[in-house]
Amino acid sequence: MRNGVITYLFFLLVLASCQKQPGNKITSNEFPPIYPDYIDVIIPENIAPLNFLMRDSCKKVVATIKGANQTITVKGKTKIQIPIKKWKKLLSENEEQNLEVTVSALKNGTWATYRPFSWEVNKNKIDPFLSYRLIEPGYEVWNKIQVVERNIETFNERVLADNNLNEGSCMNCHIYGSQNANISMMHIRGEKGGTMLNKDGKLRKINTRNKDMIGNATYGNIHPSGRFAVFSTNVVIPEFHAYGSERLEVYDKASDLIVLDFDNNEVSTQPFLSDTTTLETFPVFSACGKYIYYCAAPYKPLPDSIRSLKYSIHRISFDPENNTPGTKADTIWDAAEHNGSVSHLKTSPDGKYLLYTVADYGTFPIWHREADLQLMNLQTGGIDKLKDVNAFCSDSYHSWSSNSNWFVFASKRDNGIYGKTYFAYIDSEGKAHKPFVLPQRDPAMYDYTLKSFNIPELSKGQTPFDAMDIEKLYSEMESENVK
Amino acid sequence: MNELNYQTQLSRLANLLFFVVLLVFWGFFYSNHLVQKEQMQLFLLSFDYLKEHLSYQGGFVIYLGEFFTQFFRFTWAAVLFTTFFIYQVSYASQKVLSRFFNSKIYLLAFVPAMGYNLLLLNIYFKLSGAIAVALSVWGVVFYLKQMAPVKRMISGFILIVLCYWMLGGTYISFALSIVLIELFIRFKKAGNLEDLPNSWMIISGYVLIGIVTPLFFHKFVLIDTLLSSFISSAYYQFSPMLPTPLLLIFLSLPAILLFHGFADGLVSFNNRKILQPVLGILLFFGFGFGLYHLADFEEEIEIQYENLVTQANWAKIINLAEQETPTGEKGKLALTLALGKTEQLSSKLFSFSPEINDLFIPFNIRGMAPLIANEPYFYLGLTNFSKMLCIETLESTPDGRSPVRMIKRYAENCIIDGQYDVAAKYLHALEQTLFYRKWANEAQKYIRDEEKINDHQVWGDIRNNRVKDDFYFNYDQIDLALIALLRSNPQNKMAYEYIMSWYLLQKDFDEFLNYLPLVKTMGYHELPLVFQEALVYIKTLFNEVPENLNQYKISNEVRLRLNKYAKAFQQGGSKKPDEMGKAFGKTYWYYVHFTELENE
Repeated sequence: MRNGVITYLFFLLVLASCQKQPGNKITSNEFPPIYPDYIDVIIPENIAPLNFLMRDSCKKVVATIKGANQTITVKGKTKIQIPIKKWKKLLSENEEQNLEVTVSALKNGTWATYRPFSWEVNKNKIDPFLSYRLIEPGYEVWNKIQVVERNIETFNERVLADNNLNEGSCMNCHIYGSQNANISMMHIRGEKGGTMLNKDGKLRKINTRNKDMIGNATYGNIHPSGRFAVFSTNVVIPEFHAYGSERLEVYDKASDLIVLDFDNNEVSTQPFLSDTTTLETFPVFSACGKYIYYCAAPYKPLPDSIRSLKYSIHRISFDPENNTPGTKADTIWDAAEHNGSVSHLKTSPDGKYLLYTVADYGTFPIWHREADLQLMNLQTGGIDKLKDVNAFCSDSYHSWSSNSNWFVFASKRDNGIYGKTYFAYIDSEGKAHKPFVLPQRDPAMYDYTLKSFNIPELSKGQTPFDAMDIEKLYSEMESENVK
Repeated sequence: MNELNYQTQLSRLANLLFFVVLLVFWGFFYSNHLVQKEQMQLFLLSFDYLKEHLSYQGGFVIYLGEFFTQFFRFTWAAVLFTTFFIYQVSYASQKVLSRFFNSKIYLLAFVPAMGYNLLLLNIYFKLSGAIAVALSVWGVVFYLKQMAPVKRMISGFILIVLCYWMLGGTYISFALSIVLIELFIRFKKAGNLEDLPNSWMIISGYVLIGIVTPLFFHKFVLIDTLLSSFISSAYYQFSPMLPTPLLLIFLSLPAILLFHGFADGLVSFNNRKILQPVLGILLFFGFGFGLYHLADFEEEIEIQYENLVTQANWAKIINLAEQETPTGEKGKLALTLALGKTEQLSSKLFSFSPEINDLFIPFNIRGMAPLIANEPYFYLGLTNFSKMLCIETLESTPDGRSPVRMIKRYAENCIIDGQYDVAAKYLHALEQTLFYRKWANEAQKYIRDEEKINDHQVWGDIRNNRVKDDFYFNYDQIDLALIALLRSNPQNKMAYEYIMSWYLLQKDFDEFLNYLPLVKTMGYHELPLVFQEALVYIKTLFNEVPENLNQYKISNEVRLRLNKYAKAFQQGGSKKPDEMGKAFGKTYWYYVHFTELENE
């Protein structure tokens, strides 16, 4: 009797498991409800596995990734985590081809196979290292801040700076010169702070404020030669919105523009770049190093006139021989004409494009939902509003891959508060394609992390320092002063 | 009575007394401090959370500490667990001494436990530290149980590393204790354990591994300061620091071992019979003295108010304040909020000797934003400012951990504001807790269900009260925010009482009179007492009272009291604030004349 029951149960189990095979299924015309949204995206050949999870409550999920000669099948409960070795092989064998991804999920006892989607493997690689700041999206106070370097070909992460080691001081963006990890810098505030400059692994701490400046160096960019950096110096004021969907407004009470010569620790500027009539910010060098692009707006009483504070794009020449910014500014993008305000300028390494953020007003687009990226062709002057790239929430803080085929940016598109890092491909025609989010080992990571990914910057190599080096620099070395 | 019986009875008595003192102190005098520890953490019951804690020094015991602290929302559990772990420190210390020195009673064994208990009076010291100290002492007991020298040696090396990684800084206590134990064995001073082979080498090895282990992890594994790499963040919320009392606690067990190792043989049984009760009494009174002087009972009251606000127990807050007027900023804020929530600001505010900043805590970017700071904004309908202060609190905790109370409040604000994706993120975290899971699951049902939110008893009201236009937060002009609330919902009685209270506290009679006509639309049966007192006084300032002010009825009682006040004031009362305070301290007039504002 007992044996009979066991045999019966065994057959029931076999039958039940037969039903769970993807062979018995319904077919859906919908794309699978996966997160992150990796449906029909172009990916570089060297990207880490695009792990994802199912958003609906399925019991099991199977993904089949089909290339020209090879297929990978990955199973999971709700998550698809692709083995990295198989993934690398698949991508290298399918350069310039489409991978077809078919997802089946067991839900309410039935297997559903969703409409397949594609991953187009692009042979133009993206720079393999990405640095970003991990910070909780706070207001005026911060707690834990880390600047992290992620190898985007794998899931490995390295901490470049940790404010826990630097007396809790605030740390700003880590930026590279021409995507070169051997030249980079970041600001660390606080009593022992300064601008931490990395040149071939040799670290220096520079006090970037001289007696004539209104503040320390803030937003900056390194010259292609590595010798100079152009900075804005900003007196930053935060304000908190009362209205539900708004959050924070940050504006500059004053801002100027300077160029710093790292070899001689000398600051240069022009009177019109450091007077009180115009607010200058977010300067960058052109790819050739002969021009400086920056955002400029006429001074207005703030915060009362904040909604009419609109920044244009200006360009001046730069003479690297004499460390001299030009005396005449050209308007490249007129705020009045476009009825918007520009920030975060980034020139592409091939010199073709200028990528920037446009918001309705102001100079702090990360809390402006309407803030979108735009791409200007510097040769034709044509502007692409990047409809396939932008989403309804703030898209900003972008940077280029060294081959100018990819750019990375921070977007709050998921929930309006937490920034994540997205990559977008630009083809030879200059068309930007649908972006995809930085893949994570655990695709649920974005759901539970309380950190924002801030100021992503790509680089060709690994940065030659780590958090302990920065701690030593911060706590033990004296700052060099600038003239 | 022989020595053994005497020692056994003395030991039992001392242990019982210590346990009872701990229980009574925490249960009756300091429980709110413990209860708030639960609000200051977000303990997730997930494997990832455990894994994360096992990945750094002291993380295991922090995990254990948080695990037990999650039960602190129940006062009895908070008291029992704290007492238990403190008691464990003393019990394990006694075991070490009795095992090694073969005696039943060692009153000095209470010292580390008493010490850590005194540290816990400070809100910045953690329960995990008490557990760590207890476990490290039990580690010494385990070490002493290893009779075979080789086993003892192996366990010594393993336990030093294990104690370091699992318990953090108290490994110093463990390592020093076993080094001393081996030295005593080596020189036959105490213990019945066999000497280790090559004992000098092994003792040196213990010292070496004790120093090298943190250095190794600091260099190759951890991203932490050197001091933190030795101590960990298991003890003190400001982890880059090592407070001297904590260091003394780490050194206390080795010091006691050293003392007994040298002193035991020198004191006879008869002398000990006298000395032990004397020492016991000294310890008892010393501990009592420490509790009395180191405990911050004012802070305990402040925390009690903060905890009552969490429970939205407005009646109890007012009742408590009626017994003794709160003097701290949190207690005062809780009181005005309770009065506002029960529509009594307009009748009772000046019964509690208010000050100008009692309605809101001024925004300050230094130090931790109090848990309670966001509460008035939340209940008034200024959800964005409530969110801002929730995040400021989250971001300003000394140890960087997320207070569950703020996570919950932030999620509520997001639901009210329709920021459902952000709310879901925070609810997702709460769903992984033991005690907030049910609440979070229930809250999830509100996501994107506008009707359900609007029907919610608290959220619906707040949603209805929110501002409909935008402006920037400015503490000095908070009245403008309150006016915006009233503009959005003219029936927001709480906002109205806050506006009027704000102007009265500012002694801004023009604005008070400006908004007085709205009193008719707020559903009061009569002009509230505070308004009557203010109005009757303001009228005395006019040469000719405007006709429109005569429409408000002032009770005879108020008129009579004003006359008495005026008489007393004119008869020298203006120079006798104490006397006037006794007679009229609960009136608005007293506030006007005897509370000086900054701009006066």
